[in-house]
Amino acid sequence: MSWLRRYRDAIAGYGFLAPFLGFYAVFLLYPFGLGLWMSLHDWEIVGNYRQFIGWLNYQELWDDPYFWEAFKRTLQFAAMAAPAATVLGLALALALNKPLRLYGALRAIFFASSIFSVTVVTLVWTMVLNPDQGLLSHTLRSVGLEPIAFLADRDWAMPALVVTTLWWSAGLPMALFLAGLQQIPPEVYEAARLDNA
Amino acid sequence: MADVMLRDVRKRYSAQTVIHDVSLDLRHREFIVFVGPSGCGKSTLLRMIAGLEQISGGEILIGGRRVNDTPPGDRGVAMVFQNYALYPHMTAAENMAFGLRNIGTPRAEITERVTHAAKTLQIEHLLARRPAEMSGGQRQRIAIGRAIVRRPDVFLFDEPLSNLDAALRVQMRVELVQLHQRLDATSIYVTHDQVEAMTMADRIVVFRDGRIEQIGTPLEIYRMPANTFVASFIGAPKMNLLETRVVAASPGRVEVSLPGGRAEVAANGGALTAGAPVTFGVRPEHLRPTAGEGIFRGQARAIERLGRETLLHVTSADGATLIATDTGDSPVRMGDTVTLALDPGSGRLFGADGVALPPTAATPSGGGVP
Repeated sequence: MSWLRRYRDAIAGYGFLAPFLGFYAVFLLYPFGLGLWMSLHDWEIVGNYRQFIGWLNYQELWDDPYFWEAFKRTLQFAAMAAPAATVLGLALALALNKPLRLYGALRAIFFASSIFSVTVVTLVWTMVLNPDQGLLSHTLRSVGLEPIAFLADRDWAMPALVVTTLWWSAGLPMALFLAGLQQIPPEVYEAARLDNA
Repeated sequence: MADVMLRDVRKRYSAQTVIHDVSLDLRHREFIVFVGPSGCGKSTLLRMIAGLEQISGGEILIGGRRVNDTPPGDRGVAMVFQNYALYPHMTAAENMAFGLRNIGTPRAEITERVTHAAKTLQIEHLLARRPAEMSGGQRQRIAIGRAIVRRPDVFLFDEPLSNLDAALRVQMRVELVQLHQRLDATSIYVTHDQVEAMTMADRIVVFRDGRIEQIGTPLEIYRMPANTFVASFIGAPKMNLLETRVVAASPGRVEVSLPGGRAEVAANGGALTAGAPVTFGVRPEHLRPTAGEGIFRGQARAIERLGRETLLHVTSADGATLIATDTGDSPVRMGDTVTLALDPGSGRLFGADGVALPPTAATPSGGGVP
């Protein structure tokens, strides 16, 4: 059974990956493929009517002004959130890149938000942004200002979502930057101090 | 002028003191080597001079200026690290230019200085390369170049050759000393390698446990070690040390008993009386096998033939071992009984506390211990 010996490592490797690959296939690959397949049909969500129509759905989308509006908003959101998350992650990493116990705890706290599910994040930020009972409304009222309905206001909704997303997602870039910063040997920092950097 | 003065310099980490009130005067253009076993504080002291470690007490003066609170970049020092500490994303030329750019040196002058240093170190062909594309020896040359271009008053070397292979280490040792002679700067060099200390230093400072054990020229330290620690740390093979007792003491002369004989040492025995415990020390090159009278008798238990000479490990009946030197073609064989003779005036005596007894004027030494 020489083939068994030859592929033993590969078999073990795929064996360990199997649970993940199973879920990945069932809950991501299959729905994704099904979605693509459905997009090429006139497909009743409730009912059995399925008619292959080729690119017609995409043609309709192309001509839909709401689609382009949504597309624009998504680009705006990405343009605000992605660079901000990177800069904030780097800033946090630089501030917390010290071998002190307090900083270790702070790193854990800043990273913790990024492991919450989207449901938890939504619930938490609803409590913050709610115009009647929310944390921000209380704060605004206590300094004599009118509370703002952040999520219902045309001008405030997008920034509010960006801030929420930053709170949720800055932890991961921070962890990546920290990992990179800690690869730099301390002597390089010392050499830089001697070089007036 | 860049005299470096340390006045009662101390370093404490919470409860632990790692440098105990060290005072030192280093003269302009001197090549000073700090040597000692790992953990003796030599690197910490160097880093305190560089400004990379805070000073817990005392003061440091460079060129007469108190620099305790001066940031590292403003002390007029440049440092070469054991792991080179080059900036990985910069080319060799950029690495060397970085410090000068940061203090606003004109571009033309930076180019001139980098070119000049590259020529001195024979690294012109490496200037466009990044550290990852260079060997360890090449990286260390760039790191030395980075130190040179700043034209510092004081060069600080923290075990710069430890990561290089043996052959390159010997070559760089010589080059660093030649470089020092060309530059108008004081050099402080930290190493745990006593051969580097002996070959490079104008003066050696021997450290142990955060204290200075001895300061002196290499030969002073080799010939007149201040205590048993220095005696066993400097020299390879190290100085033979045997615990023994005084047989007779008279002014300027102490006689001790050894297995198979007695040795006479020119030393001021002072208050020593017969029977007092002392340590007898002698370098292997001052002991040789003899057919006549000797100071020590034992069996050859190990023979190391080095070509130019032969090292004989001679062990007495009660287990004491001395290493002696014989000619390259020594006739001694394993198990032979050997009698060892002592070169006149070459023995040393250390008191029960390990401190050397003061030698007499007759001792052929390299001078006093400062």
